[in-house]
Amino acid sequence: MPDEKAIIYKTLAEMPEIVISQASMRWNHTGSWRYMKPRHLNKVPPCNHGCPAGNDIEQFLRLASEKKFAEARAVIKQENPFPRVCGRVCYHPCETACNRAKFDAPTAINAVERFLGDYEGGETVKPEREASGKTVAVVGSGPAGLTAAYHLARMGHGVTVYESKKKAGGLLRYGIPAYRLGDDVLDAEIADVEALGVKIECGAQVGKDLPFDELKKFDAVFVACGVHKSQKLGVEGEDAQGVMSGLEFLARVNGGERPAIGKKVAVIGGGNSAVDAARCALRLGAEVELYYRRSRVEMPAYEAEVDEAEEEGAAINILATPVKINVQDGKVVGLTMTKMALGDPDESGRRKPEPVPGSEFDVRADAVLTAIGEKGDLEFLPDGVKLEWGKILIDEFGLTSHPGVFAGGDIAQSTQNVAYAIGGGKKAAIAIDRYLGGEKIEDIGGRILIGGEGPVSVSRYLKTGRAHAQNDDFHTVVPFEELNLNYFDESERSERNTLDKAARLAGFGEVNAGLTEAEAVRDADRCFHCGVCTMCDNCYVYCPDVSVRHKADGSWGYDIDLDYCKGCGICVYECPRSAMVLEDE
Amino acid sequence: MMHSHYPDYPKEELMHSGHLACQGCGGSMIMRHVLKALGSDTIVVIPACCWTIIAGQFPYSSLKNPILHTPFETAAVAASGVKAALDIQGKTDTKVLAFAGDGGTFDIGLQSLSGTAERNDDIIYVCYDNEAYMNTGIQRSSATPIKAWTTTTPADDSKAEMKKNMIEIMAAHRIPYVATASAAFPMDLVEKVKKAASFKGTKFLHVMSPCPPGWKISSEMSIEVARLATETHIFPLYEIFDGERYNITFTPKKVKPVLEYLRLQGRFRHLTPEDVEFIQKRTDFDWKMLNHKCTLEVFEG
Amino acid sequence: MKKVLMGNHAASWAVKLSRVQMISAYPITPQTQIVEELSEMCGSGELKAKFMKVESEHSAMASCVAASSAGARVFTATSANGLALMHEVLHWAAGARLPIVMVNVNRAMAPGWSIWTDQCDSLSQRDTGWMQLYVENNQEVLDTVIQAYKIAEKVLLPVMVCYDAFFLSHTYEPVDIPDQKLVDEFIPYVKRKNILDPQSPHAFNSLAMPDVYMEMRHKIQLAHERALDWVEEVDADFEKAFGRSYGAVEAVQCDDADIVLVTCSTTSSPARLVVNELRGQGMKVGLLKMRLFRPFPVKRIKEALMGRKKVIVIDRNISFGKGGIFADEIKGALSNESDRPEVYGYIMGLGGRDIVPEALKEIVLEVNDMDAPPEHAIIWKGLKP
Repeated sequence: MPDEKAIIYKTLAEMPEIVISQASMRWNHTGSWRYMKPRHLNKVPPCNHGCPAGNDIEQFLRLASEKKFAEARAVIKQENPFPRVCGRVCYHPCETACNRAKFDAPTAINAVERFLGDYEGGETVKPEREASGKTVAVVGSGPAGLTAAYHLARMGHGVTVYESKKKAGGLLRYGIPAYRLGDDVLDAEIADVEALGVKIECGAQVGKDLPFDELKKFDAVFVACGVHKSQKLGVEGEDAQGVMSGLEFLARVNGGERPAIGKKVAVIGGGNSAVDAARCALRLGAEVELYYRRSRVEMPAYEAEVDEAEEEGAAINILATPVKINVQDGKVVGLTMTKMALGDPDESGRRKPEPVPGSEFDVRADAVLTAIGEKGDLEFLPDGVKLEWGKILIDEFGLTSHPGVFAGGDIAQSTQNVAYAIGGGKKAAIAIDRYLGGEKIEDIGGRILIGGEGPVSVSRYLKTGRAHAQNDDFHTVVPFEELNLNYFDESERSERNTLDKAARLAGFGEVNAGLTEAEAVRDADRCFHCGVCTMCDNCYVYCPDVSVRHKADGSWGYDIDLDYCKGCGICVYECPRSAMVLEDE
Repeated sequence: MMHSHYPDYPKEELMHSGHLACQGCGGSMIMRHVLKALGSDTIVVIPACCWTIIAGQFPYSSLKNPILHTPFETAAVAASGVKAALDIQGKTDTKVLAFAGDGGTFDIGLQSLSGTAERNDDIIYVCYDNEAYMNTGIQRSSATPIKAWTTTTPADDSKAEMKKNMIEIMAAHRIPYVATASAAFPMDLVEKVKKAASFKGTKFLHVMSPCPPGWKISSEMSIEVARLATETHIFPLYEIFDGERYNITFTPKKVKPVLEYLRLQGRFRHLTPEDVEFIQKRTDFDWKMLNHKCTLEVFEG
Repeated sequence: MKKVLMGNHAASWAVKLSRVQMISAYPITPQTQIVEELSEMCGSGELKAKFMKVESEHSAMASCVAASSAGARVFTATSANGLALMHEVLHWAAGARLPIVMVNVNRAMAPGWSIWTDQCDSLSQRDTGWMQLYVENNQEVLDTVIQAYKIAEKVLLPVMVCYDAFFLSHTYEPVDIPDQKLVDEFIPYVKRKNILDPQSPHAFNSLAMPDVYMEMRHKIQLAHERALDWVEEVDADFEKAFGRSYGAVEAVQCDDADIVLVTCSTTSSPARLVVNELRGQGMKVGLLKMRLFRPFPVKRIKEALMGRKKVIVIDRNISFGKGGIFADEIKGALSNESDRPEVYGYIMGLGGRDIVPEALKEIVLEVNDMDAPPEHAIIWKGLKP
C-alpha cells in the first residue's frame, strides 16, 4: 500500500468499485491535535543531589544491579576517590534523601558503595588529560586535600600534598577508629591517588616545617589542613593527669598506642569524636560514662554510632555537664557534674541547656576525655586570607579572598564531615582548574552543580560520563510526589552484618561486615532510578498512537514521532520515575 | 533494555499511527495489544462502535490487518461467517477477531453473540468496554455502571441499574475461554489473547477501556483510572475456563477503596456518600463471590 | 434427470448443483424445506458446504455478507418477517457489492399472521440494491438460482429469487435436474479479487465521507444498468447449455394485442390460460410476464407494451397510500412516451387468496369495456363488498 499520502479522487474511474481501503491512515498527521508535547528528559535523583560528594548514585546502583561491578566502581571513582572509605564512614545523607525512604526503606546506597569500593578488579584510574605543566600545592592530606589532589591530577596538573603527620589520611587515619575504618582500606585508596602522580610529603607541616611562602612556587594552593585544636572545658582541674582531649586520645589509639586510662572513663561531649572516644575506651577495657549537656535528639553524633556505643556498653548520660574535675595528687579521681535543663532556643535553633541550681553530683573517674569541639590553627596563613567564625572564608567553589589560594574541608566548610570534605575538594579542584586555565568558574557553575546548587559533578565537568547525560535537566530534583508508585513493589532493605558485642570489645576489628554480593545486587535493584530513564517501556507500550518508538538503530532511549503524537500525556504520567516532561507546544 | 517491564510484548506493529481515536483512548491501546498478540494472519471484524471511526475513512485503514466493517449488532456472527468461509476454503490457520464496544456487545449485539457462543464458532471476541455509547456522544448502555452520569442518565437522574454481568452471561454459554482484561494491564491482556487463540471455539474477552471524554477525565489519567478500577476490585481481572473453572489473574498489592476510583471521574462527581458506600459494599460482595467461585468443584467428564 | 420436486426442494437442488460453500439460514414457514434438505445434503457430505444454523435471519444475512466478503459462494433463504428482519443487512450486502444469492419464498407480512403468499415482503426491499427475479414454476426456480450465481458474480450484486408460498414452495412438479458437470462449466468457481485476505489486507465498508459516498452509490446504479444486459446474456448461455430460457421478461402474443395482461410469479400461469382462451374467442390479448424486477427492464417493457391500447397489471402486493407496485413501476416506465397505453392496475390475491383464471378473464373483459382507467387508480378484485 502506498503510504503517507492522502488520496484525492478526481474522477469516478479512479475510484475503486467497492468501499475498500487503498492506503494507510499515516497521511493523517495527528500531531496537529496536540497542545502539549512529551519529551524524555533525565532529571536529578534526590540521592545524587543529597550526596555532598556528588556521587552519581543512580548510575552505579544500576550497574551494580546488572552485576557490572567494575563499571559501577569506575562510576564512583569519576567523582570520589574514596568509595571504600565512604562506604564505611559516610553518614549517607543520600539515603535520607532517597525517595524510597518515603515508600518503605531507603536503598542501602552506602552499603552498596562499600561493596563496590571493595570490589577487586577493573581498571585503575588514569588522568583524563595530558600534563598541563601547571602545579598545585595541597596543604593537608585529609579527604578534602586528597580529593582535590586526585581530581587535579586527573585534569593533568602536577600536585604535591604536604602533610604534618607521619602518614597521609588526616582525620580518616587519626580521627576515625579502626573498628570503623581500617588502615589497609585507607592505604589502598591513597595509593590510587598517588598512582595518578600525586606526591605526598608527610611530616611537612606548612607554617612550621616550611613557610607558606615556599608554596608560592606553585601555580595555586589548596588549603585543607583540618581542625585539630580541642576546645577546653573551662573548669577547674582540667590540667590534671588523666584529662585528655578526645582527638588526641583517638590519634594515639589509631597510631597503635594504648594510653593508660584506668577502670572508669568519663567522656564529655555528644559529637562523633566523643562517641568514638567512648567506644575506643570500651575496647581498652574501661567502663565508660558519656555526658552530654543537651538531650539525646540533639547529639551531633550519628544516631547509629550512638546506638552502637550503647550496645557495646557505654552509658549515655544526657542533660549533664561537668562543673569541676576532682583531682587528688595531680590525678583525676572524678568529676562534679550538674544537671541541665533545656531553656529557650539559642541561635543554633536548639534549646539552650541551663544548669539546674543545686543539682550537683559527684562521679568517680580515672580519666576524662573531652570532645566538645575542635578549632583550626590558622596562624600560618598569609595576610589577605580572610577568616570568619574561626574558619577560612571561601566562596561556593573554595576560592579564598587571596588570589590563587583555595580552601576546603573542615578548615573552611561549616559542615564538618567526610562527604562534605570530599565535595569541597571537588569544587576546589574544578575552580583551580578553571583558574589555571584563566577561566571563570561562574561561567560553568550552572552546568555542573547538581540540582542547580550543592554538590558538583566532575564527570559532567570533564564530560567523561554518559554521553547523553550532557542533555539532561541537571537542575530539577525529582520529588517523591512525581513518581508513579504503581510500578514499584515494597521490598526489604538489605542490612549489613555486624560483629556481636563480645567480638567488638575484644579488639578493633571492623564492626560492620558489609553486604554479600547477592545482597548488594538485590538492594541496588531496589533503586527507583528517580528521574532517569531505564527503558522500562511504559511510554512505548501505553502510547495509544504508536508514536513512542524504540530507536531504529537499537541505541538507548526512545523517539517520539511528533507527526502523530496527540499529546495525551499518558507516557509522562505513566513514567514510573519522572524521566519525561510534558511541555507547551 | 534491562528494565523493560514488557520483555515479551510482541514487537510487530499492526496498528498504524494516524488513526482517529481521541487522546488517551483505551480502545486504541487495546486494539494494538490484541493484534500484537494475534499477529498479522488475523481478520478483524468491527461493528458500529468507536473503532468504526478510529479505523479511518475510505479509502484508508489504520490497521495492517484486513478489516470487515459490519452492522452494529452483527460482530460475532459476522466473525463466524468469515471463519466459516475461511474454513471451507482451507484457510484454517487464519484467526478471526470480532472487536466490538459495550453497546455492540451487551445490548444490540447480544443476540448474535449468544448465537455464535452457543454454536461455539471458532472466533475471538473482544469487547472493549468504555461503559456507554461513546461514539454517539455518551449515552447509557447496559454496561454503564450504577449511578454514572451519561447524557441520557443526567446527574439528578443517574443510572439506577447495576452494570450487566456480561462475563457470567458468556460463561453460561460454556465456551472454552472467557476473561476480563484491562488497558492498564497490557501483558495480562496479551497473554489472555494468546491463551484465547490456543483454544478452539468461541473465546470472549471483556476489556476495560478507559474513555477520557466519556468518563470526564483528562487524557493522561486514562491508564491510572483503569488501573484503579482493578485495584479497587470494581473490575477484577480473571478468567473462566469452560464456563466453570475460575481463576483470578491479578490480585492487587493493596486493595484501594472504590472512592479512589470514583473521585477521579467527572461522571461520578454527583455521588453522595451513601452512593459510594453502596458501591463499596456491592464491590466487596462481588469480589467475595468471585473468590468463592474460584473454589468451586468443576465437572469431570 | 427428471425428478418430481416441490419448489423448495428445487431451490435446494440448485444450491447443491451450484456448489455453494457456505449456507446460513434460519427456518421460517414456508421456506423450511429448503434448509431441511440442505442440512441433509451438508450432513451427508453430498454438498461440501459449511451450514451455519444461526439464531435469526438478521444473523443469517450478516454471516452471508461476512462469508461472501471472505470469498465464499454463499446462499440463504427466507420469507416475509425473516426478510424484513434482514432489511438492514440487505443494504449492506448490496452496498458491499457481494454476489449473494437468496431465495425468498413470498409470504404476506403480519399482522395478522399469514403464512400465505403475496409479494409485499420482497417488494418492501425494492430499494436495498438487490436484484430481484420472480419465477413461475419449480423448473424456473432451479434454473434461476443457478443463473443467479452467474449474474451476481459478474456484476457484483446480490440476487433475490422470489417465488410464491405454497403455490410453488410446497407444490410438486416434475423438474429436470441438470448434469452437475454442465452446471460446473456454467458457473465455475472463480476466486474474486478484493476479498478479506491477510496476504492482501484491506478494510472493507469503512466510513465514507460526503466527498466519496455519492460516487460509490453511483457505481451500484451502474452495476444494475449493466445487469440488464447480463441477465439476458446469462439466460442465452443457459439456453445453450441446458435448452431452457426465460428472458428478463416474457412477452406472449403482445405484438398485435390490444390488451396486455402484466403478471409475475405463479399468476402468469392462469394468465396464459386466459390469453389462450380469449385469443380463441378473437380478442387480441397478450401477456407480459415480469421476471426481472430489479433492475427494472424498461426497454423490454416498452418493446412489449408500446403500441398497445390497454395494459392490465395484476399486483399481488400493495404500496399503501399509492397502489400496486408493478403497476406503478410500469406507469413510470412508460410515462415519458407520448402515445403510451392506458394502464389499469388491479390488486388481488393478497395473503394467499387464489387468483383463478375466471377472475383474470373478468378483468380483461371489464377493461375492454372501459373508456379510461377509473379516477381512483386502484381497482381491488375479489374484495368483499
